[in-house]
Amino acid sequence: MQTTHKAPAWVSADTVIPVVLLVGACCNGMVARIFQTLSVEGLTSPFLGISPFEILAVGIGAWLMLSASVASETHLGLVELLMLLALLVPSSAVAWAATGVYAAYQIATVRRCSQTGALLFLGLAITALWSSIGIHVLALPVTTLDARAVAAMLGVLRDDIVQTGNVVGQVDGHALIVLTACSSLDGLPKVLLGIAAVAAFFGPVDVRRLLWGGAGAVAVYFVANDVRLAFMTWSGEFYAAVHSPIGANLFDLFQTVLVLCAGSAVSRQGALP
Amino acid sequence: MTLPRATLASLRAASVISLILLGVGLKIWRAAETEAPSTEKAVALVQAVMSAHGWQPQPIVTYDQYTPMIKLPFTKAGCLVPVSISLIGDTIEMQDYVKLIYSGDVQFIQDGRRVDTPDARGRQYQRLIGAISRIMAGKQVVRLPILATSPAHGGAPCSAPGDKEWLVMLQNARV
Repeated sequence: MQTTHKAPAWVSADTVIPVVLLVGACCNGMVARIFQTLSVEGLTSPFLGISPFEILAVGIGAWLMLSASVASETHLGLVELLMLLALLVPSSAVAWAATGVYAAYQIATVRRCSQTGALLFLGLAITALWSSIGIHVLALPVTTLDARAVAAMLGVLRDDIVQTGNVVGQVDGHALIVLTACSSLDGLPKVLLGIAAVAAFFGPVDVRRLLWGGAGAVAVYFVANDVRLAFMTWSGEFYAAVHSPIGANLFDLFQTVLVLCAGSAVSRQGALP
Repeated sequence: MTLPRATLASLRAASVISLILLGVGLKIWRAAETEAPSTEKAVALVQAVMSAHGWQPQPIVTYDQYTPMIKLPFTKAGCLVPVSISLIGDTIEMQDYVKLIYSGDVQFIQDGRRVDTPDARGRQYQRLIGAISRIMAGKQVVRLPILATSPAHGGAPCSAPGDKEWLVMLQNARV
């Protein structure tokens, strides 16, 4: 993955059309989630139900595309018109599918756009479709995976922990039901997207370091999330503490540190070795 | 008269942005109108169906905010065992917990059909069909939460009603 970081060389209304289309498509994909968060939680949710890593990917993806070294005019072609028509369909999933297809089209055909920027949009679309559809289709295996890991961890310390499917805990006492929203495979794609965005922001990415860094981040995230779930399984008091604002903020802080460290580590110009 | 190139480009960009904003507006409209599995409506419908079969509603059992389940217990004169109907919404992964608390003596009602195990793909398919019907025909599709009934087998005098009643309930919800 190669990235050239220059100030936008020649930005006109025509050259920004692919970027406007992709950012607009992401807004179309996110708006229903924002609306639902606002109607349920009001303004208490800091990012209105959107992961900060998704926002990061949109920002860095757009910046990279605008910073593409070669710029020339983009006319509104058939693909762009189809993309606009898809955005008029009142469905977030259709908007994300359109984002993915148009980003792939940009990667495959349009030389003037930064491929890395378009790759981030493609990753964002895949992440969003996974969170809204894929994970719900595979809900039981995904959540059972975490419950098994938690049971294995706690089994070392306690002998009263039993796991049945995605339920783990005491037979007649406190137990945890692992739901998709707290499963490792729900948060992980967003974290990987954040790592890719930070790495692309820092500069040229070494593919070997990216693969190693990605694999390391996957392992660290799985362990950290399952430790968090293990705390929630331990007792009712720990469950409440992990779900408290402090517990939630600590996990968000961990994710942010992981994204920044891994993202800068996989970039050749990153701050970390 | 020919418009300058820069003006044409700006007009194109303005049209693109307008259409994107129109798409955003349509999605907000749909999010406001969509009746996602409505808990209050489902509770009322379940209680109506059960009352019609002589079952008296008991106090509703709710869980903490992270456990998406509501339990509706019912009792009936002459029946020793109460019937429980739990609403688990779209959260297919609640099924293992429901099976555990009822010691496996449970069946699920998904989209008006009685099943042993909720079908995640079927639920997503119904969601897709609902979205397409809404987009193509402007039809309001109400999707009720998945229900779990215990004791499992419906239709007997001292158990939850059978399939026919739940299908009627779903049809009523769509009116």
